[in-house]
Amino acid sequence: MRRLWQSDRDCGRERAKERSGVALCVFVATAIALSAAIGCATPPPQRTTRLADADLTQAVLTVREQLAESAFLRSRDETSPEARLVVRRVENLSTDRIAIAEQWSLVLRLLAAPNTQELLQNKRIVVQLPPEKVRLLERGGLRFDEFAQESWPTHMLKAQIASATRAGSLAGSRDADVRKEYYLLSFAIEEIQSRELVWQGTTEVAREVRGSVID
Amino acid sequence: MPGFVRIVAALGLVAQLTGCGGSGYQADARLLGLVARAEFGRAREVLALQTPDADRHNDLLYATKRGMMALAEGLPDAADRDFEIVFETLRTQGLNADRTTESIFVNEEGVRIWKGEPFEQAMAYAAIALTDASRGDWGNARASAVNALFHLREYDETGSDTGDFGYRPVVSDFALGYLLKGIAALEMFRREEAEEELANAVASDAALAPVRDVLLAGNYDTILVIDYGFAPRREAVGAGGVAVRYFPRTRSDNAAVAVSFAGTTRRFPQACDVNTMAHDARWQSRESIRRFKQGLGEAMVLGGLVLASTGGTDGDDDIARLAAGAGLMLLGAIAQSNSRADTRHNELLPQRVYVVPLMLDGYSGPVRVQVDNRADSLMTLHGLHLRDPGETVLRYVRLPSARVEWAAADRVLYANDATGALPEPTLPWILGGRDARFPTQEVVHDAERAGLEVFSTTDPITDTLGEIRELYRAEGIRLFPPGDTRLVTGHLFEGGHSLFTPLPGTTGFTRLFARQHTPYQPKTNQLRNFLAQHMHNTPAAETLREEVTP
Repeated sequence: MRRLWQSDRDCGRERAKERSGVALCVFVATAIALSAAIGCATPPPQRTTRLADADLTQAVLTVREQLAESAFLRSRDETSPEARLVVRRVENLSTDRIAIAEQWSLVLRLLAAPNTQELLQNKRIVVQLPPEKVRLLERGGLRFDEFAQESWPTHMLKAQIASATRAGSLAGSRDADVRKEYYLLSFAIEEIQSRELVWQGTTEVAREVRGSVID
Repeated sequence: MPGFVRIVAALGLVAQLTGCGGSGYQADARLLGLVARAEFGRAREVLALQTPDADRHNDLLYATKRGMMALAEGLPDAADRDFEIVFETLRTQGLNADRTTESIFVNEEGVRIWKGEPFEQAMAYAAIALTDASRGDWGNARASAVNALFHLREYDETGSDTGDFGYRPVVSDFALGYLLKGIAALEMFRREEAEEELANAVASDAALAPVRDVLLAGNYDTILVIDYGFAPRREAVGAGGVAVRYFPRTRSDNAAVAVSFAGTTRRFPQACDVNTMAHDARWQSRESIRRFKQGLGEAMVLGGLVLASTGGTDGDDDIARLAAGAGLMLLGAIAQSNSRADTRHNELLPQRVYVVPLMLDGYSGPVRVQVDNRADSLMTLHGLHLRDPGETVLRYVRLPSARVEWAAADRVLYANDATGALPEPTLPWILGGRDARFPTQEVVHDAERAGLEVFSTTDPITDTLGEIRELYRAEGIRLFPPGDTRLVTGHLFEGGHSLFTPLPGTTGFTRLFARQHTPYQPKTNQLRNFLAQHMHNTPAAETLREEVTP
């Protein structure tokens, strides 16, 4: 009823308002579409402090460099007595579950690169099958002769992943909503006879994630 | 519109809306029955048929139950498939962060991803730790146990003078978690850590001191982790079903578990009572959100009612006020009706857990386990002595809570990949015998001694072995060699299609190999023909020959 009393000037204002309203709607819709498109392009945020494969790969690359430049390897050459290296799987002292296959692969990846293999050969270091793998192959029907004493391993390559956790509340809520995990990955070569630590390489990874820990 | 009519209409609307809160989660009674009778293989089949909801809100719940049943069956490798999902999900933070606003207007069960109450999470981590420990993977067992020991929150009344109430974090009192971490630390030669964790376990429950002493003295080579009963039922109670209360399925008591072997019986205290955890506010998390929703809903309905029933008698202002009032009531009613508690819970969790360190010291006979004063809980364990030299064996044992005849069986009736051949040679299961081992040359040798005729002139044993494996395949049976049980389904003995041996010393092992099963009936003519040709001196072969002769 009130609309009947509106003057022409009022109607003109009304149309202008409508036009500006439409423009605003188009702007907002475009902004939403753009933000959605950008949102799709960005990777989803990390929601767990578990170790990612990329962390382990980076760790192996870092430690491999440390091994290549180590005093232990530099002190050896083609004339050195043969060193027979046996590999142990990673000892998991972290808060993350690491599959057994991954525990093996992490150590073996350290030695698997072609240039590392060549380096070890040049330094007269032979890598032996670990006893667990021998048992596995024997179960599959392969037979291995008893090790003669001259073939016994002289060195052992070990690795360990340890971690420390810190959690707290950023928003001042009742439950922890931020968690940070510090991982320390260390590799070591020990001389078996003397139990001497002849090389150690370490690297660290930290992961922080926000969001309710319990929910 | 007269005010009285408006109020009646509004109340009618509210009453209708508040009725749409949903009936809530229902535990699967059939599943509970199967687990009570220790039929974990069949329980796995029931769980495998449960289809995930479209929004995958219950994936964690289903995966936890599947993992628990595989573990109880003695299949830690199969359990690991589900438990890796469980671990990943539990470690994911802010899983329901995007759903908080939504959950104000939609029932929690419809919108939230189930992650369980803190006590359910701790128990799930403990189950994962047991899976790893059963495989001798102490590092991962330790990792899972550490995750089970998260801080809890406790209502803090220290600020009561100033009216500043709140919550404060407190260290966990999860004795089972401390025990598992302590055992893992001992096995990893981390004595100092083990002493600390076992001291924490005793601080949480002084009754565990004898268990700690045995562990620290190293006077054990076998650890049994024994579950009994069912965790409490979770129900919505109170006005609007806003609160949850747990009702015991298995009542709590202080009964010890008795473990008997070699003429001696030892008793061990409980390490965990899930009924107690469920009733402890520190082990719960979300009730306040629902109380907020209920309170908000009530306020909105009341506010809307006042707004709608006041004001002028005519004109647009009045209509607008009425509409706003109705809208407010509507939103309030929705919030209120959906404040009903989420009643999803893991009904397969045990009511109690015992941790039992034993020194078998070469004893190879059966070991009997029974909760005091619970006759139905009896279970006889076989093959606990089987291990690598110097190895500590941890076995998870889920006791029945309903009487099962086979639980008392003190003899293994079928050859299997753990305890090996029977004293007398027997035929493979598929040929009507009692040999349930993965077919190898040894199995064929035993079959030959049991009456199987082998014909090949070149290498009869190898050729017959190939034929037997082919027969299993033709009958639709998958063979799983020892140590390769990740993908096993139901066992052949129980109508399934997998031939495997679960871990010895578990309830699943006893049920499969110490219980009498109906002999295998051939499904294909290929098997009938083989039996007719290779088995000449048995009555069964005569019958088969008659069957296959046209």
